[in-house]
Amino acid sequence: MVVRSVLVCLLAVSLSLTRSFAFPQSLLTSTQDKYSLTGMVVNSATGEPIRGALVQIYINGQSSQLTGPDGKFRFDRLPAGQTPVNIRKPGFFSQQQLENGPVRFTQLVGTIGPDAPLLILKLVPEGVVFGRITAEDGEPIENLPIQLVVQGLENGRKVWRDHAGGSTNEDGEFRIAELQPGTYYLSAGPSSNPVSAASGSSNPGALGFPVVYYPAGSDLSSASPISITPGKRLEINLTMSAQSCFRVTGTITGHGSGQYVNLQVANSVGRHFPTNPRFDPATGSFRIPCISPGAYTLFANTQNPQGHSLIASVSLNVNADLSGVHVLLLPTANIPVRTRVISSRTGSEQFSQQENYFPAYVQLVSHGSGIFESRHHSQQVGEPGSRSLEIQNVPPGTYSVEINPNGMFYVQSANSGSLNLLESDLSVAAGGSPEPIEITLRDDGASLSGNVSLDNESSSAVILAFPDHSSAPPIIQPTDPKGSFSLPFLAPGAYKILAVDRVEQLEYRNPEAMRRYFSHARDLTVGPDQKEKIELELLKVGD
Amino acid sequence: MLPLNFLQILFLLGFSLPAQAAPRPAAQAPTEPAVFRISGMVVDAISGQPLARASVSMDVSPAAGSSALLESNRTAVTDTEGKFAFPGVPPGKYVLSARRRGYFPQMYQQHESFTTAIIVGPGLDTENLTFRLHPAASVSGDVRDEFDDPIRHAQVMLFRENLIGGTRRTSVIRQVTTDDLGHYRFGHLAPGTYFVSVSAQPWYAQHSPRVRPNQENLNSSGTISSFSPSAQQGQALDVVYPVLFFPDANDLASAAPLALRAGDAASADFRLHAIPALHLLVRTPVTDPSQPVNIRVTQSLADGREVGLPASIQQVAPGLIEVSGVPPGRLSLTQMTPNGNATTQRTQRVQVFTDAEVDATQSGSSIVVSGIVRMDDDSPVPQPTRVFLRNSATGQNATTDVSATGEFSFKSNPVEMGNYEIMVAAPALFIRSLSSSDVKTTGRSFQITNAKDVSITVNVSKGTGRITGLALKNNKPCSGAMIVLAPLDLRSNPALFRRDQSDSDGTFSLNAVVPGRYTLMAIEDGWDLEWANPDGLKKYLPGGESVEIVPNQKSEIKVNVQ
Repeated sequence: MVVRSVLVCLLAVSLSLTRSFAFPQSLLTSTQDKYSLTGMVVNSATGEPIRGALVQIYINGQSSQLTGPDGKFRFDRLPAGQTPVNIRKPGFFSQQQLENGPVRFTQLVGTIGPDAPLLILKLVPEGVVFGRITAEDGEPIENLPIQLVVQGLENGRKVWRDHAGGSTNEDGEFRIAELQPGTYYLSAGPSSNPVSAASGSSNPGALGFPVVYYPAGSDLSSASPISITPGKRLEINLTMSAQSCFRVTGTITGHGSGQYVNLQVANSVGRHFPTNPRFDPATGSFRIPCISPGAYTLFANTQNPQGHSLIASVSLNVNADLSGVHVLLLPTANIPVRTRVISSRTGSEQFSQQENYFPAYVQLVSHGSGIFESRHHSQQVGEPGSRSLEIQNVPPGTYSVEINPNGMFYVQSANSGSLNLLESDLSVAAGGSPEPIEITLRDDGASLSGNVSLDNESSSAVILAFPDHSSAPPIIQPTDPKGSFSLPFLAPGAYKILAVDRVEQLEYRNPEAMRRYFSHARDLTVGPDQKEKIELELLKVGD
Repeated sequence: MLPLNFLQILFLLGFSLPAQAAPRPAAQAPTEPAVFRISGMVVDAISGQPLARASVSMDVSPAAGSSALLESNRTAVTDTEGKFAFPGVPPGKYVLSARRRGYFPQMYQQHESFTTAIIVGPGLDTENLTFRLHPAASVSGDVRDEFDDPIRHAQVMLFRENLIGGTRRTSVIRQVTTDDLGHYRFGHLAPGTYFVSVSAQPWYAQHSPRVRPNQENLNSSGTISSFSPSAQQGQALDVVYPVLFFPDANDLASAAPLALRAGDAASADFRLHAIPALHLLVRTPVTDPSQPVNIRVTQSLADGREVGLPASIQQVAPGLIEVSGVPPGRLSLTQMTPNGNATTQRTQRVQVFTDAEVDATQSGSSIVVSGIVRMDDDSPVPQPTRVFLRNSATGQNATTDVSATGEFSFKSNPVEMGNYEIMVAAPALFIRSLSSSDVKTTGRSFQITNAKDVSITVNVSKGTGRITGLALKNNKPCSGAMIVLAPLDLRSNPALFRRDQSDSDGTFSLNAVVPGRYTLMAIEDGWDLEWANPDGLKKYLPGGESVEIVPNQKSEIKVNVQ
């Protein structure tokens, strides 16, 4: 019996583990159902057997079993062949759960037949962070938000993500489980209501707990990473000191009378804070009861009765009670997208004639003032028969424009007025009506195919093609399990091409981080309709 | 005074919705803009010790509306001596509430939903209040399985027994899920009688259907010949956890109450045992195959509280559905049949102990209640008016609109036999009586004893009366007394009772009083009285004041505190 990982490459497809794994018919039937699949589930950190883990195989239908006290399982009366094997237990992750991503899908496979050895399957124990938050006088702080933040890669960029959170209980305790191994940052606070009277009744100010990044920082840059290894139980106790907090009041205008407006407060890097804002639709007045000194942005949004978004953001510099803050809601922008295709065969321009078919879709990606990425997608609008493409409800900001052609096209140009969107970011102003995004696509792209020599450890690779002529993201294409790939419909131009093993760990939108990889990249210039074949060496991410 | 949302409370009580509480007469507007102070000290109700770090909130009486709430809501935090103060308070009527770690949120001198409101104005003492906070109780525990493994993400519900409308009812007040250690906790609880339940599913459960959807299962007439389970691996994992009430009961009736006093920390641990899941074969009326019938399986935990069960539903053949993965016990199967854009729902209650076939072709709940709302002056029914139908036994209720000509029909919520109550939600309407040639009616309820559609006439009247008054003890205004307005016939209808708590100046008000003759009583320390129970109230009747309420009129009454 052999256990190996089969890597199935998927782009933007989420597969259900149990249902989409299609096996050749020959594996599902057999004349001789005389073999057994036996094995043992162990804790990857301690090596101890795991009792009561669920083992599922998919041969002659689905069979499920819980492991015994010794961690062992045994499925009898099976035909020779292969089966996907899934294992599960609360408090543990399977290797596949930890490894799989949008372009990677691995499946544990068990082989059944004569002379099969015991199958040893590992489960990775979860990490847990727990602890207690107290005030300087030892009094537990109740109902304080606790948040774990992770830095990850999304579309080749470093982004911060709120991972998991909770709030402290009556004893000031919190507990966050089900953590995958990795690096986390912890924040505690802020309290959204005054928690204590200022000492001495002559000073009427209120006190609250500001946000603290473990161990004692006031922002993410001064936070210490928390390393969670498999099975780690980490206790974090924090003592927090109350600080003056201030009240912010004001009025909101621009929305329909009586309509509710959502309010959110974010700090200078775009993290949203629970601040318990209160809004009175009848008068348009709002109030934030207790906010620590600092620089913030107050975001307000609502919809008008026609369903169009209204939005506003106001900078707040809080070092005293603020009153009379005025927030004017303005409509967000709707940006029309116009596409045209130039056919090289006829030399003519051809506009999309087919109903509900658009040759490209567009995304606006904002990295704005903050570290949290936001995306706005183009969508079809209008009545059937006269549909068009539009990006709706775009808040003011600066966006990079990503264009995904459908089918056999490449992007020749993309403009907003005189602005070349392949090179420059798009600025969207508040309350304005922006110019349409005009995209020209062609069908005489180059085609590139080739092979990557895979080693024993890597069962697949991903090809990245970085265009030299634009700031657009690279074209990403996984290879098949043998290392073959093909990139059809490449825009003519110069490229840097490389093959990596783990694209999900590559910060490929950061030129600085890519420099060491680019020195191993293949430079290639392709012309219209050119067909090119290349061999690539596999680059290991992180090495 | 009663500061809570009227609709919510009255609905619980089973009243028709009265007129919106008329705003109190504003305090006499002084010619000069006078402001006053509310101040006091928060202390532990048991030890009398001052409490620092309590948040005291001051709101104007809710009658003034939401904008006033936002502008006037103020919060102060007590200092190290437990003291709080709100300077610059304009004359008016205010509700004080406080919260602190280790205590449950309370209004000033709170009893049930009532509080003693603070009346601010010239000559009224609103300083040096003593706000007694009662320590909170808590319930916590661990949920484990038969292997002693913690069960995470189990749903734990906390039930509280309440005196509603003078009678005891038990309802869910909070819900949490267990953490990775199987631990849960309910804090900040007021003293009272509680129950705890756990619902969870074995994380490893595999509920695969036993009957395969093919022709072999069907005989020539298109019905299934027998329920023959196909041999199947993994039936050992076809298991469920029945809902468990602390300590080891399957329903609320046999659960052990947790009587919590202030400061109690009760512990309630659970051990769940997986048992074989049941498979039900449900025959439904054969419908258009392009409009598949779905079935929702729920279980009633308490008065009106249904929890959904994660059953898997598979249509075996037209008119035949297998429901897999349900526990034994009393279940509700609700068939949802698409009907154009709407969905028709029919609910069938079953009690199952083994795998069973359920004939739902003639659903038990097929009785349609409809009728007419008739105004006593034959005027049109004000719009919008809604009528509620409540099953007295299960607490399940349905609602529908009443047209201007008075018609209503619960056709999308057919019911089964049983006792039902009718409620009308409209400003200033109250039900005088019900009449029907189909069923026996009593007060606002009626009994369906056979499976025939029911037509009901709901006789309603417009106009309710209002009482304001002053509670006196030794000829001085007395605050915090329980005010009870009882109909002459104590046994007639609990919905006729009205109550209040006298405010800091001894005043009280009773709104939306159905016209008729009553006795008004003020009772000190009367908050444990089962006031709707005639035997409990009888001894206070002689000390009360007799009043006659006529529609749309206000009565002013002084009453001595007993």
